Amino acid sequence: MSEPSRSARVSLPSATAPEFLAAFALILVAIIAFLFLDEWLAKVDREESRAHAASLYAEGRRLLAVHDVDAASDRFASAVAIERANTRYQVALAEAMLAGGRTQDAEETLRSVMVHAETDGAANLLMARVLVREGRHAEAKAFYHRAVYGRWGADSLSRRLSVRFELIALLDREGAQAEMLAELLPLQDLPSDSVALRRTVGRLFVSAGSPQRGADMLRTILQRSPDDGIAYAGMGDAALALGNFRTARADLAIASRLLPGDTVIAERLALADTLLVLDPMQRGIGYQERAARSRMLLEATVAATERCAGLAPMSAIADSARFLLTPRPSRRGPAVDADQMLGLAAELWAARPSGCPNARSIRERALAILNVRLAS
Amino acid sequence: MSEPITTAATRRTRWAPRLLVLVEDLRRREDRLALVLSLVIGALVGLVVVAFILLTGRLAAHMYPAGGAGWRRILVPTLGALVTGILLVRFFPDARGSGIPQTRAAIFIHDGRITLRTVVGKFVCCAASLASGIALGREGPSVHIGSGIASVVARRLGLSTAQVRWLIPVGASAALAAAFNTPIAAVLFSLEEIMGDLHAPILGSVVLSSTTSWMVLHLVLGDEPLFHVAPYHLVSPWELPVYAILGLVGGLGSVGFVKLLLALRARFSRLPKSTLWVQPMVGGLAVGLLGFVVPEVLGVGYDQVDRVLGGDVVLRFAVMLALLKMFATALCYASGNAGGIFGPSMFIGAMLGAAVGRVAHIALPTTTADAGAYALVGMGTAFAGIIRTPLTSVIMIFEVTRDYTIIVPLMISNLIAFYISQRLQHEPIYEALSLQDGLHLPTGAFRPQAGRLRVSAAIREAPEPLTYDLAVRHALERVHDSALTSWPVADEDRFAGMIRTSDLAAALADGRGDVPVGELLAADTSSGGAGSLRFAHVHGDQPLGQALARMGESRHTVLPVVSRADVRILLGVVTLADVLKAYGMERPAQLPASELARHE
Repeated sequence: MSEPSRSARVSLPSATAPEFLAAFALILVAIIAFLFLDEWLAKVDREESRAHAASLYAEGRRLLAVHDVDAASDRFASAVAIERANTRYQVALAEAMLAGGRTQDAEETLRSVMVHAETDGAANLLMARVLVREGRHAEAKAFYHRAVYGRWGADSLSRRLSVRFELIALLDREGAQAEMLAELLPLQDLPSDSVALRRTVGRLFVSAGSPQRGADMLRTILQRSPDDGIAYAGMGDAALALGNFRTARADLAIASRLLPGDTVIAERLALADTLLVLDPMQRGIGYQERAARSRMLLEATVAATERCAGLAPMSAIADSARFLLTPRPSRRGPAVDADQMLGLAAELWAARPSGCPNARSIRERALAILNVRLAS
Repeated sequence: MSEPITTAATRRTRWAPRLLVLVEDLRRREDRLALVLSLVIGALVGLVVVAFILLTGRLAAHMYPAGGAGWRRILVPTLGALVTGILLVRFFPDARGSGIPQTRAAIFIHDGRITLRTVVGKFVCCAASLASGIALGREGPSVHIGSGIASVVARRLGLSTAQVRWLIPVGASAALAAAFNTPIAAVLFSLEEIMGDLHAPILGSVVLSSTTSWMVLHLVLGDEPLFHVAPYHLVSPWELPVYAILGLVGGLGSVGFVKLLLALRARFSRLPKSTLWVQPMVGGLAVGLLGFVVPEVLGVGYDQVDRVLGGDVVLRFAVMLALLKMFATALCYASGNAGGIFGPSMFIGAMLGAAVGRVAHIALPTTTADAGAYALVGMGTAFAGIIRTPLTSVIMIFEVTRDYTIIVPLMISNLIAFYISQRLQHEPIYEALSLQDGLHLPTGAFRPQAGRLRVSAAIREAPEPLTYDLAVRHALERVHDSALTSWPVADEDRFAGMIRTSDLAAALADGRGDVPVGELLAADTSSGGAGSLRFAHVHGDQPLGQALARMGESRHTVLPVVSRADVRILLGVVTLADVLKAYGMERPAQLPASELARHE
């Protein structure tokens, strides 16, 4: 219809006014009928599409479980194409991408998810995992925190807890004890019936450099279940970290008895035994024994450091140690010599180049523990 | 109890006349009627097109269930094409093809008349055909359905022919806004392609209907875009030459596609009429066989486009899909299946763009964007090359992406594709399709001149045509007294072309006096040869300047004025003298008084 002027009056339609009205009414009825039809069709469309997307998602999960990553990605991508707003499908797609080594794609997918679902726990957790895989640990930690405090559906408490444990494991691998301790402290007040959790947290406290907290937590478990071998092992570890080698030996011996097949506990027990033999600070040994043990410790430390490359910078300390170890009549007495030897051993150990291999044998580990303890 | 009844009756007697007065007022005021009808048509068309989209989608989902057997991909399109072929031949002959040439024909030839039967046929046949996986699009049919609804509504309301005709683009824009979720591009497409005139005075109504339809779409289906596109941008100015290359590739691809489609269609049109019902099945079977190997060829393929736009591009696969889709769409359309080429054009463009982008990104990773950006620009490029509506294509991509930064490369690429397409393929696709059907619809280039002097101002009654089998000698006897330098020739009462008096005289001098005029006509290249529809001619609504140009091209000083619906119907002739006279430059000395008297 041409756009006439406001007052345009043109030739009348050939239909009479009632005919015109009737036709108009018919058109309005058609509009209403189509509105209902469209609503119904749209509802059917939504339901069928959702069901289809859900079946694709389920199939993708099944494929991912059997490590058919490409096929799983394909199913998840199809599910996402149907239901773009579904965060679960998008996260699953990113998960499949990560499993297939496509970390960059996974990151992009997750970033787009976070535009709309910034606080989604699963998305943040997966993003953290992607970043860990890419070696971007600092960023990953931030996403772990967002996941811990993010939105989770059902069973949110246990999910948050497992995220926190994953973060703690990362911190443990990094040796970031202070951060690890910060993550563990909120877990101190776990319910007393969560034995397994408390046991884990107790042992983690030991790793985080807070053995006393760990021991306290494990002790409460032992009060309720005195036959808990793992708790005893944890107590033994805590005692080792605290320098109470006798207590450690006793706890580890019980643990070994309760869990006879556990090689780690057996190894720890052997370590405790070695420490008890080497420790020059042990109470109850005579001054001669102390002097002998000090000499033995210094000799072992010199031998261990000599095996390291780049000994040159600490050759002065090593020379002093060798001089002290040379058999000659002492004017100062064995006690003074023992103190000097222990001081030199600790100094020499602390000055070891960073490239020195970690202690592997039980004796070397015992040496490391003792020197660190002497230095502190 | 009697009192309330009396009151109700009184009320009824009061509001009924009021309503009639209101209706009468609405009928009398064309501006108000235009406003109301734009809203009503926009809403109705929007709802119908949404139903069409949903129904097609659901049907397709049921025909191709998840994990369905591979043989379905062969059987379903073949059977779908067979069923729709029968329906099209038996019940809905006007519902064949895309719908856009038919809509234009309705405006320019059939006084805006599209029947309800055609609308229903288009809806049913296209829904069945597209759901079965035929490689055609839904936008063209939607435009035809929308225009048809507008036509039916206008005629039901008893509007005049001119009003009915003006409402067609209103329905078309509403349909496209709902089908493609691009209301602005829908307005432009209606004006640029359907009307061929961006300055058409129906702009307001078209905008209103498009907006209403778009609102209906969002009301029912929500704010979900047709394609999900990442925010792309120009990485470096050095990328522009790559987009220019994309324009080149897109332009050549478009021309190849259009030529293939037209050639296949010409072949199919030469087959006997009795095979018309089975022809679509050829397209269905071919697309089925292709789909068996490469399922992405089936249907319009927007899922695949969406993936490519997201950057999920494998170079070889993109090239293969572009080529296969070109072939599948051309064959499906040419064989007479119901469906459009609007969507497939987008698909082809996206794949070509993705391929170019992938190569560019491999060669220049730091200075080029992701392949998805090129796929996006490629869509617009193919649209500009195939459909030849460059402005619509730019706006459409802008609406799809809602991102301004991609527009500059898009414009460069589009213009190159448009230029190449224009150079290598004279007629735009919809015009070429109309020409194949014997319909001579006005082109976009013609519309801006429409306000000037037209051929109808200089038309004169045609002289009695020479018959096709009349001997040259007798023909010359008949025409030698006339001042007309060319004479119409008819073959079985159907106009066949113009023959020059000088050619007749030359033939007689060569001793070919007994040769039939038809033979001479067939040898004349300017007449296009016997049976051709391409002899020099004009239409009554064309500008007079065009008649002059045609006279220059054909070396005829007398041109036939023929019907747009059938160029074999001679409406009159226009002579050089008449044209000059219409321009106020009379040449009375050249026409004898007897001749003038004869024609006046």
